[in-house]
Formats: sequence, structure tokens, C-alpha cells
Amino acid sequence: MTSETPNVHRALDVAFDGVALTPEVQDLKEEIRANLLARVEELQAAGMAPDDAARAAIDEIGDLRAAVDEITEGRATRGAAADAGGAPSPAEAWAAHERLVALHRVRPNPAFVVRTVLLAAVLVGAVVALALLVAGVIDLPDGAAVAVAAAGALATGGVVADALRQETSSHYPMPAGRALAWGASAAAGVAALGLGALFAVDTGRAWPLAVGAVLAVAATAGLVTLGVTQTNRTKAWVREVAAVAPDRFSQDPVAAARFGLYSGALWLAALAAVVVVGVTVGWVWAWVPVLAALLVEMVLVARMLFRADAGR
Amino acid sequence: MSENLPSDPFSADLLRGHTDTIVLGTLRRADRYGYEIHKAIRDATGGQYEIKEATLYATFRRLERDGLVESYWGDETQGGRRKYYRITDAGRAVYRRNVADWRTTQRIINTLLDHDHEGPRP
Repeated sequence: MTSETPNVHRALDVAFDGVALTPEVQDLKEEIRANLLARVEELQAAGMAPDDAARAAIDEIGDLRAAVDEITEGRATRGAAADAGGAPSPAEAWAAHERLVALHRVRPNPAFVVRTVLLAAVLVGAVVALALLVAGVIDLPDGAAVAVAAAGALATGGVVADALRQETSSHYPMPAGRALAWGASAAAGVAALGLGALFAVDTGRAWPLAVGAVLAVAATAGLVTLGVTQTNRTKAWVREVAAVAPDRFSQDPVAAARFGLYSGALWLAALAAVVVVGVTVGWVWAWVPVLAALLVEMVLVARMLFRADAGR
Repeated sequence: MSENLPSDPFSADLLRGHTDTIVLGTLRRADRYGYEIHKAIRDATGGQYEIKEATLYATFRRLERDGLVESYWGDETQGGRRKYYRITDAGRAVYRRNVADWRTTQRIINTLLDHDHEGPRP
């Protein structure tokens, strides 16, 4: 085991000789090293002598030097091209961007637009009905109220899943299973809100609160799991544009961190205000702090993400 | 064995043009590291087609730059840490589209060459 390893390491050193050891190159070298060792291990398990196994693994992998040069040169030319172009005028940059957008344009599917409008109408209807119920304007039997909440939840799930399944100019469609899971989580969240409204109408009954709480936990668990495991859906051309012209938060991590802290403090305060307003003034007005926080958040984004000098 | 290899440089070139799609295909079911991907491709064709491992590294970097795969280092304690690749939703979409494109192309070529009765029907 110990006699074969120097061979592999020496071969790697030869292949990377004279290449500037940037973090990217170091990363490539370590990746190849682990793969070579995996092959050596496999050959030895098949009964090959350590030295022969190392030699065979190095022979099999192909022309490492050419691969290293290809990867490092490709990067160098790209960087040089970006530098040589200099900073284009805003008008040129805009025209170039417009051309890119037109080239990659994906028109929305008309059937999808119709479906979304219809489902959104169902959702709006359900929200209005539940709001009127909470305000005491209309009266609905429990069964009907639950049906309204369920219709709103299903409409939301449908809109979310359908939208994620669509290919857009900037994003690839999401696999069906994942899109359905996003839709189901969103539907559970809306159903929980609907049951919360039902509970608000008559706080004497516990079942809407119990079922709503279970749905809320399920929705949160689902959304967090999906959010944490989400992989890239953005198309390569959008990523390229973003890499050339990064937004302020990518350029300035300190500003991004500050924004995160401000937002966290803002929403914590909003949450506390919701409880305070709800208990003191009445739960009917509990949405006011949320609206206020939303407005402040928008101003925060406007001031922090888009600098005043960005338009110059 | 050697008579099974694509002797005609055209067929090797043809295959090479699909390296990105082939690599994405090997990642559909599970995350894999470089040598594992190389081995999966070799074994899937019974050794008939082999992509030189060295050329795969440029492919991995291109796929990662375009957001079609993500990479992360494994937690092996022995023999060096392995760099694993995971396909993204964008990668799955591109894979499906490329496979559909290939099926169409294959059908057209088969029709043009009048060999469609030999090929598998979709």
C-alpha cells in the first residue's frame, strides 16, 4: 500500500509541474488524486501488484497534462476576453442584454396562463369568502367553510406546481415529483391559514386549531426540506450574465450580511407587534404590523441592493 | 474485443459530442465521484466505449459552470477525499431535452438511411 502511493503522487506532480497552483488547480489535483487512488485500490483488489496497479491507473487515465492545460487555459482566455472588452457603455450593455434575452426567449404556454388565471380566481374567491366569514359579514356552515379553505389550498398548490413545471426564459422546468411536493407544501400552508380563520370565527372549537397546527407544521417541514435540498434551475446564459454583472450582495458580502440582520430584526419585531396588537387592539387588526414590515422591507431592498450610484 | 470498438473515427466523434449528456445520465440516480462516473460509462457499454478519464475533468467543470451539476467533497478519511457530483434540476431538464433531441435525430437518420426497421422503435 505504501509503495504504490509515491508513484501516483509523483505522476500528479509531473502533470501539474509549472502550473500556477491557484485554489482551482489545487482542487483539480486533489480530485484527480482521489480518483487515481480509487482505481489503484480496485486494481490491487483484483490481484495486481501495487507498483503495477499504480502504473496501470496512471496509463489508463489518459493525457493529464493536456487536460490540465485545457482547463487552466480555458479559464485564462475567458478572463482575458472579459478584460480586453473593457467596460461597455450602458447602452451597448443594454443592447447586448436585450439580444441575449431575445435569443433565449421562451414564450409562456397559453394553456398554462389560462390555468393560472382560473386557479388564482378560485384562490381569491376563497380568501374573500373566508375574510367575510371572519369579519362576520356572511355566515357559512363548518362543512362549507372547510370546503372553501380546501378549494383555496388546492388552487394554491396547483398554481405553485404548475408554475414550477414551466420552462421560462431564465429557468428550466422542475422535475414533476419535486414540483408536486412544493405545491403540496404550499397547499398545506394555505389550508392551515384557512383553518386558522375558521378558528378565529369561533374560538370555542379546538379542532380547526389542532388540524391547522398539524398542517402548518407539515407545510413548514415540507418547505424547509425542499428549500434546503433545492438545486440549481437557472439556465447557463443567465448564470453567465450574473457572473459578469453581479448584484451588490454578491460583490459585497458585508452589505448582504447587514441586510440579513436588518431583515431578521424587522420580522422579529413585526411578529412581536402582531401578538401585541392582536391581544390589545384585536386580532382583526393583527395584519397591520405585517403590512408595515413588508413596506419597510421593500425600502430596505431599494436602499441596500440597488445603490444610489448604480444608475450613473 | 478490439473489433467491437468504434473503429470509424466518425462514430467516436459522434459519441464525444454527447459526453455532457452521458455524464448527466450517470448522475440521475445517485451522486458519484469522477472515477465512479468513468467506470459507470465503461461498464454500461460492456467496455465498448470509454471516455478518457482525463478529458472528463474539463466536462465536469463545464457542467458545473453552467449549473447542471454541483460538486461537494466527500468525507473519506483514507485515500484522499473524493469530489462528488450531484445533478441539479437544470441538469435533469437539459438531460431530458438532449435525450429527446437525440431520439428525433436518430429517427430522422434511420429514415434517411432506410435502416429504420433495424433500429428500436420509440
